[in-house]
Amino acid sequence: MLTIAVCIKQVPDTHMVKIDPVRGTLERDRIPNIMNPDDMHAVEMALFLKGRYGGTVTAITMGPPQAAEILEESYAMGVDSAVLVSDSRFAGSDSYVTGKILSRAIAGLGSFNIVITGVEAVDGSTASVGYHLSEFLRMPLITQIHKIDIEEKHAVIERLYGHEYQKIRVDLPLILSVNKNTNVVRFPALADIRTCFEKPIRRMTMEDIGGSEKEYGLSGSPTVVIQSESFVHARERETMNGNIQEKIEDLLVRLKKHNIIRY
Amino acid sequence: MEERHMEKKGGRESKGVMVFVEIQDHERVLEGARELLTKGRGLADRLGEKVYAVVLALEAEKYLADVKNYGPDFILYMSHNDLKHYNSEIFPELFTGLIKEYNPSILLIPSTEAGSDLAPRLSQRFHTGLTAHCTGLDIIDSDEHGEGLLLMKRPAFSGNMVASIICPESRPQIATVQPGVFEKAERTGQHADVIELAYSFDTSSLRVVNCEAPRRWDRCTVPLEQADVVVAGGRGLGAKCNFDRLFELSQMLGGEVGATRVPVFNGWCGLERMIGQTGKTVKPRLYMGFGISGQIQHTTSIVDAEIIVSVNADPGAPIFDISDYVIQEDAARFLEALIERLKKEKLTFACGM
Repeated sequence: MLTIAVCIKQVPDTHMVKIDPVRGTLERDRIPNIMNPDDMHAVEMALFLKGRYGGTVTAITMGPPQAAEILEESYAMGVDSAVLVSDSRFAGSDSYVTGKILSRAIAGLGSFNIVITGVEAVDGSTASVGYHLSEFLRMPLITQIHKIDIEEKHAVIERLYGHEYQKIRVDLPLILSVNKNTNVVRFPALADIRTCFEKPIRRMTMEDIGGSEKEYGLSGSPTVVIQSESFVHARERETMNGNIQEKIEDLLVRLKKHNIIRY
Repeated sequence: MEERHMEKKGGRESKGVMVFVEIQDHERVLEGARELLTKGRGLADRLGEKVYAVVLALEAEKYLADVKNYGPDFILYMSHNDLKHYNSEIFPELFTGLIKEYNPSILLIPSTEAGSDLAPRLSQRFHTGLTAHCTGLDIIDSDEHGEGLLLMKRPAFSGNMVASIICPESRPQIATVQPGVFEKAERTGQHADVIELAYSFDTSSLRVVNCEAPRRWDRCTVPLEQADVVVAGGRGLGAKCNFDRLFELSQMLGGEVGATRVPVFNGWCGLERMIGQTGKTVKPRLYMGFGISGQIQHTTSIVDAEIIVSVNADPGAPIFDISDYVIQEDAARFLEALIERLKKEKLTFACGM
């Protein structure tokens, strides 16, 4: 029987990002929130392992109260329990502090054989939190997984690492970090969607995980964001006209002019 | 965990720039490491401090002359068979020892697979900040936070914003940078102290072990980050058979093939060809995008190309706004016609000459 924790995050759907054309700023209010795409694959991995070996899956998210939405979604996918780690004192945590909070929440929930995360979140794209967890929880972290078999006290994993395929044996407990290359996410069953809103969500605050206020949020974060500006990189766009052959000739003339190709 | 923190606080003042000189495929110095040595040299000169290049490899000696060309004051190296590949248990442990001993103020790490593992582990062990995937590094003085701080710029919010980040209190200030972001420059006449350090690690404590010898996976002939010409394909190419023709074009132009997420996801090519915020950053002389709409995650990684040509059937494709030359055509059809046209000419590719 496996005990599996899966860490998920609610993020803005960055494909829907809109920039205010006048002020050049992000229109955050108009962006819908979704479960981070890599985390869907993390939930899938958890449910796959549960299906094959038996066990329980606990979904954990850290975020504001509305992040409970993705816990309901994870219930619809088939997790067994859900935990919302939420406290206004956690707001503004950088990736290091996020790792600290999640690791303390995970440790506080009991002992897990396997912790699963997405590789990265689309909003921050640091891809660091999994490694922070690996250090805080003292569990090895494995990425780029192609095949996994759980044996008694260890996992045998095939993965692509750099330019090489590796077959490795890893002691449990361990952390798996997964993304869309790992698996295909299931569709929730209608019956599960119907009941997912009624299932209990356990809430954890700073009092539940311990530590003091100065360790968390902005004050606990070693990094400080001192400025944010929108990013614009326009170029002169010259359009090639005419039929396809004429466009090709026009383009070749220009590439020759730049001395990029020559005859 | 906590005592590490105390030790650092009570000790000497942190000084110097340490660079992880990653060895790629156990055969060459990573280009991104040369770039970071160059960048690190510039930062250290601004601060009046030293640069420490760290080489951990099998037969590390053979890389030292190459590393020296980029102007470090010290080259610290360990040579051992255990260091042939990056190892997520051994390397962080060795670096922890080096950081305690040399106490650098700044630590620069390439954002490769190895570096992305190493950096957050060290950040946790030293309770210090990490800024991942930086696109700009500088030294600033701040009235509020103090002097000689590392200013780290990175894309935020999927590349729609640029955030300026500092790490005012804890040390080292850790930044990771994708290969290709900075320029490399040789610095001759710089004296470097070369120091061999004894390697020791108890491998019986490893929790991850290889079951069998690893096997090689296809890779680009020229690393994508260094290619002078990049022809990239996206969703608009429609099918693998169309995407495959990019290889024909890249061969004619002496370049390499890149991709957005969709071709990688569809299995038209390997992950090592993905250009984007989570893939590679390229700055070729010529970038040609076929059937690429221009999601911001992709375009932030091509903006340093000298010339950007984009081909897309959609007149509203966002990539057109960051292109020098715009061709509104079906990407697959244009690609085929361009290849046929180039076949008729005896073409000389001028880049790199």
